[in-house]
Amino acid sequence: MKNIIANTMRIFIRNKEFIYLITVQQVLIFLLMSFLLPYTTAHNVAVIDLTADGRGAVTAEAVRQLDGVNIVDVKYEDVTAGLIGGNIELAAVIDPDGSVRLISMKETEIENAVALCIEQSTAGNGITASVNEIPERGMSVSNSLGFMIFKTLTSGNLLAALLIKEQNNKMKDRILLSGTGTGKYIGGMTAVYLFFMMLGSVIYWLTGVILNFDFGMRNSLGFLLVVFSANVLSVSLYVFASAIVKKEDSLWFMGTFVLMPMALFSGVLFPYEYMPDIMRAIGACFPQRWIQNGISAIQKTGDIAGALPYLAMVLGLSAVLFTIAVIMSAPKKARPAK
Amino acid sequence: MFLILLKKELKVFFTSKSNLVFMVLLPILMISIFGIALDDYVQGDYGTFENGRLLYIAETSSAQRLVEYNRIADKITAATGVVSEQAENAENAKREVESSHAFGAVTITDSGYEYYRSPFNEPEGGKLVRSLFVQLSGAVENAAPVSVQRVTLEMPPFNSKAYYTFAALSFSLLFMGLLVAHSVYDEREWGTLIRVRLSHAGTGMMFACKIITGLLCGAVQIAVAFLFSTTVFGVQWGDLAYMLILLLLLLAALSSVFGAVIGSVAANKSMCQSAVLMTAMLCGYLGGSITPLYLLENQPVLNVLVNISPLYWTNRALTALYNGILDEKTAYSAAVLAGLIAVILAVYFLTAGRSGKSMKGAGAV
Repeated sequence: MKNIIANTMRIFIRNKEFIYLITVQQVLIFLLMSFLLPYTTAHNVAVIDLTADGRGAVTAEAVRQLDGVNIVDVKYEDVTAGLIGGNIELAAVIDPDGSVRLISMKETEIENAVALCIEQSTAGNGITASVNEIPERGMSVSNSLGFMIFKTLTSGNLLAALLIKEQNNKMKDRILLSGTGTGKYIGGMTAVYLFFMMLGSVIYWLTGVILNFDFGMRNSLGFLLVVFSANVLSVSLYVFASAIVKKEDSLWFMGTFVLMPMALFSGVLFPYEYMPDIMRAIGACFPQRWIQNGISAIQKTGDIAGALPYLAMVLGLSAVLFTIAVIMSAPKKARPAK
Repeated sequence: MFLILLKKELKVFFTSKSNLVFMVLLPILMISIFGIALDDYVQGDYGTFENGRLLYIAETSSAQRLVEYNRIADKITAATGVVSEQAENAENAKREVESSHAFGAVTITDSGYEYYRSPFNEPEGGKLVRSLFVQLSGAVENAAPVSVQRVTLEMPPFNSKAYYTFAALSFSLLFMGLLVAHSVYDEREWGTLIRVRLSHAGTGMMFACKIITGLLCGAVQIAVAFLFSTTVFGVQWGDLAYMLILLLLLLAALSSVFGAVIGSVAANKSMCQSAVLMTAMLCGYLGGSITPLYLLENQPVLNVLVNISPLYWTNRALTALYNGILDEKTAYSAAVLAGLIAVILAVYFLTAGRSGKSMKGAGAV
């Protein structure tokens, strides 16, 4: 096992492309996506003040001060286009006389809240309410979580490629003939690969901590823990794939036709909560959902314990896949001649 | 010679079961999944206030203060459906807030209100309720409210099925570049490239055949998407369907060219796959093929970054064309796609010219 680990480590260190693809590329993509993915459940509202004497300023400011609402900068003449294109779902137009028109294409769930805010906007000087201070947070990781899980799960493909290559060029046979067991051979290579994948996850997490990312949880170590489980699942999944396919070419098929649809149904690429029931029922069966649920559980309950059932499911599936792969990859015993 | 090569390419390409599955199933799967899955999301029905609770702890002897609190809470309930409930004590209330069982907890004291929100997982609905509470607690009851009039426009709202017919199809066309990349890479790996070089055909002709094959594969994907979207989703491509198809074919050409170039320069097959897949994913994300364009355009930094994705220009134009608008968006999109094809080919041939060969030999994993 030690030799396998040392050899695999040597292959990876000698071939810098591996380190780049397993560790560096992963971190770069995750960081990029953290800034790029805009899925949000904040409602988009436009505030347009048409008053010439500034009397609408107080009302406009009251709406702008609403937390949980995303204020979109739209000109009055573009309101209809913004509503049709989905850029805004509600426009608060403050007319010259100070009255407000709330324009939408259908009744939205925040319309009454915005109306209440506007109605009361000029009635100040009542009782003060103090709110507990919370630390300023940066970019939310929730936006890029789905993509990150998808990318993490597909990151094991190089391991499978390496295993298939060693199988095809008979390197594996020579190693097994030297007395190394199949489990040790695959386990050793997997351990090294997993180490580099986890290293990438740690670098991403550390960067997130330094850049003050909003992990949405009390202790962001819980996030790292769940991502580690995704790393484990990824290598197991691809070790399993390497046991059932004989050519490196077939691996892309798994990424495109197995993992991608699974990711889509699991809601990791778009909000699961708003998918139709049937799609959610299907998605709930896939490990991508378990990983996402694990992170959501920590975010909601504020406790790592909430994620344990999901972690157990992910690690259990990983163990099953890995075991099957080792059994399938073991050399077949030659039948005695009759 | 060219026709012989092309015939061979088409035969190899279209007799592969996995290629056929990729061509036919991918657009159907993507259009169905995206179109159906995001239907509720694009309607904006997030359940923002669903099961929302606001807890309160009375630490005041003033009955008047409680009446004032109830007045505010009643208004919030009427506007959002969030109910106000009395908590046993402040500690329990905080625990409920932090475990997402309540939006916030208000301690009513003689001097005013102390609003507690979760320091790490306050939901959007909770933020709205908190803002409203702070504003309403500062409002005087008998002040004249601002007049608000509701206006509902009589127009069909944003439709995810129509949007994703084109956005998911364009995404699927980008993935098609992978088939071309594989096909080119395989020629290098199998050593057939050397034989082609020795023949009259040359690698340039083979390169062109691969790209044409990819283009035909794209045409099949467009035809499949057309049939599926019109018959299953009832999406009418409209009078400008020919422009939609032309633009999509141009995108298929870009995808093929990109795939062919990657297939001819990648050091190994995994890198070849990763390069095409990751480019497709990035362009898809930034181009509004996964996340609707309006979400991207509403983000401060993202609304600039989207410009680097050819799919952004294409999807903008496709959406306009679908709505019967033939304007500068179509011209911009065509220019971006044609320009990219020219740039990729120019860079490739210039680089190949310097290194003295147009396709490198395949490397080992």
